[in-house]
Amino acid sequence: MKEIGELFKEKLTDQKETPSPQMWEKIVINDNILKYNLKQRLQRSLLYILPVTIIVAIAVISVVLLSNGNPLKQNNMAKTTSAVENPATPVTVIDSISKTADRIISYPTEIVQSIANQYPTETQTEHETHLRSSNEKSVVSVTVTPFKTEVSQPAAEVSKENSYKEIVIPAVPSSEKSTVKEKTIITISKTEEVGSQNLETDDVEEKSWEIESSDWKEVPDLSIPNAFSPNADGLNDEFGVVANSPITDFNMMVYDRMGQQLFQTRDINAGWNGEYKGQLLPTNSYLYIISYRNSEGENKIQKGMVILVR
Amino acid sequence: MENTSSERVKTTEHLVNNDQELVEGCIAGNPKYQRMLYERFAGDLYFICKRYSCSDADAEDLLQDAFVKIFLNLKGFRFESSLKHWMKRLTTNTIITNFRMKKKEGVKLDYEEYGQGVLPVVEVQDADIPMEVLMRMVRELPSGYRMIFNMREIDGCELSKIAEELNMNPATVRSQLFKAKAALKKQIENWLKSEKV
Repeated sequence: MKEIGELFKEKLTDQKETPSPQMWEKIVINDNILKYNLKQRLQRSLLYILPVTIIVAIAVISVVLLSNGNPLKQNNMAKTTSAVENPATPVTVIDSISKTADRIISYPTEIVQSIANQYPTETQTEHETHLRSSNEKSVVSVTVTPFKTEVSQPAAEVSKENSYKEIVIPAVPSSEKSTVKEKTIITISKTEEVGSQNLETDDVEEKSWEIESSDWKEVPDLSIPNAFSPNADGLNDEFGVVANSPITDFNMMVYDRMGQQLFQTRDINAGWNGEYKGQLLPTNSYLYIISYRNSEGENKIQKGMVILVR
Repeated sequence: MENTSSERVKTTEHLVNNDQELVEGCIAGNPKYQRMLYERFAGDLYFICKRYSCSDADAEDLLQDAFVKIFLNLKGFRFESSLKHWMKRLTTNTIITNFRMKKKEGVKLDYEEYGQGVLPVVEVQDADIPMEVLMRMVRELPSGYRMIFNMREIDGCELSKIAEELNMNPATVRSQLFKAKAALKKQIENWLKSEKV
């Protein structure tokens, strides 16, 4: 007879067993080990890098001191002045706009006046803001070109109502434009054409008037609801997405919590009615995975949970 | 180029025999040395992890934790004991910490008073049982029993120390050790019976 502990101790002390070959990789990719190794190596390389950087820094400082610092400053000045002098003459600005513009709207003279006051320059100021329109994914650029001399004159010629309503569609040749609205100070031009809906004058006026680039929010490509109620009441009976911009290669899959695929479609207008193989599924949250290609050609994947409510 | 690389291999091979250089290489964060250290001691440490765990996957997790701990704490190794002994102790400590964390998560350990007297000796028929069979028996014990049995009988810890390390009542440790032994005895008897048949 033998004490049971001894029996085990004899056999199980100082034994070896080789772990699986993947074991080492598991250890070596551990974050802590990687960080540690990197830190240690950095510390070592710092011993060499530090003297080198000090020498380089000394060299740079001495060069700067020797050259008195003046040439550097002069260079900078030259750059800024050239940037100021550069802007093109009013005519060329209008030309370039009319090439890309497909809608041009003129504005009442009070607005023009106040904008001109906002940007009081002897020659010309160009103010451009790139924005994302809320319902279409296109860049709207607003160009403000106030001319002090021209502002007062057109007010007499064009009545307020006229200037409010004037919309030119599509792009106007530069010659025609200059005759119709030389006094146009604000032009809204769409650099990217999306659809052919008419812009309401008032709409555009409001938008352009309150423009602050920070006011405009990024609109997601897709609006995805987070819940739906398939109870045939006509409200949110299906789970589907709404595209805010033209997308292609759409694919939507819905899974339950066990990873079972319940629904799959490539049609963006199709929706899931909360059934699987003809059976009504219970109230629960379900996982969706949506992949698509957006208007810029990027492939995107969106995942999330949708709650089914009965 | 070939000459230098072969020289390098030679030098590192030479270094493998020298604990101090190996440790210094690992401290400097050189994966080559770390690999050497791993290859030299993984077998020993894996065996320890195996008898403290119920599955190979668990054992590998423990081994990984242990090696991470070893590499990060190698700076603290003072060459007062052998490298192997130090690494083994660190591995056991890792296992104990891991066990304590799991206990907090809710591994239930039954608590039963088992007096303060001397533990009854559990004896079995002395037989030459293969190591693999014994290993399997230990691994099939409930986690608390396995922990205490391993620490007491194979690693030779004092009961009071076990109680302290595992943050348990000493009486519980005693009773669990006894139960573990009783369970193992039953298993051995069963095995002997099946062998005879």
